[in-house]
Amino acid sequence: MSVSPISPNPLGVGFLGAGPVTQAIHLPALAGLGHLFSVRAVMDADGGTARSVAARAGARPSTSVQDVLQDESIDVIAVCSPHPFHAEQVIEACLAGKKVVLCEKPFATTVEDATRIAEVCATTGVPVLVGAMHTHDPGWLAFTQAWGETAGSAQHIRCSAVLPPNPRFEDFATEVSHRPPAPTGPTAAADRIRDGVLGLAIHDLPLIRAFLAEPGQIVVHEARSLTPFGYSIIFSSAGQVVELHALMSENWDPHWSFQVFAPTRAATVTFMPSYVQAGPADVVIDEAGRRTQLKAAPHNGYLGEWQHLYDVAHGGAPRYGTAELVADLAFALDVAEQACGAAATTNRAA
Amino acid sequence: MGALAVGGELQALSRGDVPAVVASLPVSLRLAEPSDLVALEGGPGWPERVAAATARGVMVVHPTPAAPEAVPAHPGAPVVLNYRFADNPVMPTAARLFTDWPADAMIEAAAVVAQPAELDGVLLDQLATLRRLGSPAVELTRLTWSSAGYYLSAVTRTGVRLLLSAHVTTATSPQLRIRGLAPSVALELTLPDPGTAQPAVLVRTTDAGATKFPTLWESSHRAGWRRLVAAVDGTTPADDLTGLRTDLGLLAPLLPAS
Repeated sequence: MSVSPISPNPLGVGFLGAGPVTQAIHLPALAGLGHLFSVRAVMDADGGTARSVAARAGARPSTSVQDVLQDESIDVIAVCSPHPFHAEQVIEACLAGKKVVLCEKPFATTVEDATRIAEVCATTGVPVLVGAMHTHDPGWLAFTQAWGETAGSAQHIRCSAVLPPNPRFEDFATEVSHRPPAPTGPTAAADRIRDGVLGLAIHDLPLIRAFLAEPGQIVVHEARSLTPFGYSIIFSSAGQVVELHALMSENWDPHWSFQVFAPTRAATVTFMPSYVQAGPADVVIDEAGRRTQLKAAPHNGYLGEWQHLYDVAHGGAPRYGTAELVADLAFALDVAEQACGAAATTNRAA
Repeated sequence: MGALAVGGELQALSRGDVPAVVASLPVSLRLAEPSDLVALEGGPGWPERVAAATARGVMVVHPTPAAPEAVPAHPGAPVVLNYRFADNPVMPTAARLFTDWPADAMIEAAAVVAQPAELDGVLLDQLATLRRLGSPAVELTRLTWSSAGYYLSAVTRTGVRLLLSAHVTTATSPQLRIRGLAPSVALELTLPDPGTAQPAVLVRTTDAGATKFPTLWESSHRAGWRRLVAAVDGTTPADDLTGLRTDLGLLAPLLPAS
């Protein structure tokens, strides 16, 4: 980590979208990095939300994207708006000449839009980071360093997320203003699975992709939606098998793990729930009769991504290049699409 | 009733830790020939050897898949199938917790084994475990199968979705983990390898907290011999073969051709 402990000129940050992610994740993270960042503007389509959230950060409110993009005191744009707005807002932020753009996942909803973002990044030279906290978690980074080459190195990859509803954790992180109503969600199994993959599994699909030798050749064997919200998906790729499942329930005990099994070694990475400022992920590697527990830097992926962003804004190379971000998105969309197809088949068979 | 004499096939005595188990039940059992109770190894041909056995009770150590029709319908003596995981003494308690498991929930059974050759046996063990938990599989679909392990999908007769998996690695000790996930309750049962008396771990979690159930420091091998003694003295009948025939019928079409 090459972060300067004291910066005479903190980077100005402007938020597009002021929902629970901005309130419960980013503002608390930035409050601990006041020597590096200064929140200058908070935009939201709802003026009341913008005023309320901006006030707690000492920033000015706005209901206009252009107003924030044209603010020369703002170096970094954080795109935290609803998914359909991500691609256009990222592109506009790049064209506005900002130093770095941070976009919540997914950073686009189609491969075409992701590719356009990559092209604009290349043209403008503005780097884009995706707010996928697990990929920036110090535990995950320590794990991949200790494990070595990941692609093709495990036969079975298993990701399990059993979590209480989000508000339980949002309320530990902040006092949410103007909390949006809980989405009612689609009722068709295929649509529920698509929402699950692009809303929850997306946290871990980049990690899974890193372990696959041929991520472009997946075959979904089974996909089911779980009650009240969740999914169970089994797919394989060139002989490697992936188990993805998630359940959001009233159970209080959060459990979010990523496991890999290889012939002579295995590992479990246990992540903290979303929103809370706890971390890092706990990592255990078993090999040859020895169990190793890694001790990573004592912060989570949210803080990790902002610290990394600071480095990138000062000339450092992004941890994940745009080509990799596009590939991650294409992989996620492929999993979602094929899982939807498999779910439809499963339901017909049932 | 005095201590029953125990003997059997050398491999069964070894794989089932029979001398150590007998030593830990000195009032009930003793190693001696001729034997009242016989231990048979659960490899190929075990049903025929069960049918031919003349002892007062038969223990099949780590049974592996066989043709359903080869399993004796009316053996001459009580037969106990001593699974690595399904015979763990925690099972009656766990079964009570799984009673009336919600139909919109799921149960996963994930095993870790050291060798690909163990996959057939551990699948049979998983099916027996689910049966003893009161959630037997009634449909079974193979999703993947290789030397690295397998994934199978199933449902119970009440519609609970089952996901069975096995992962081949020498990195950790063999185990079977059963996890029930429902909208308002979760159950997690970790069954250790019976090489030692390491206890199973059983935890029930709701929105009010988690309950960890008392540990039982007894291997599935010892628990199995206690079951056989109870069956022979008429205290508790053993009906292991009936469920086994059903499970064998389910998995026979799914196993890779040998």
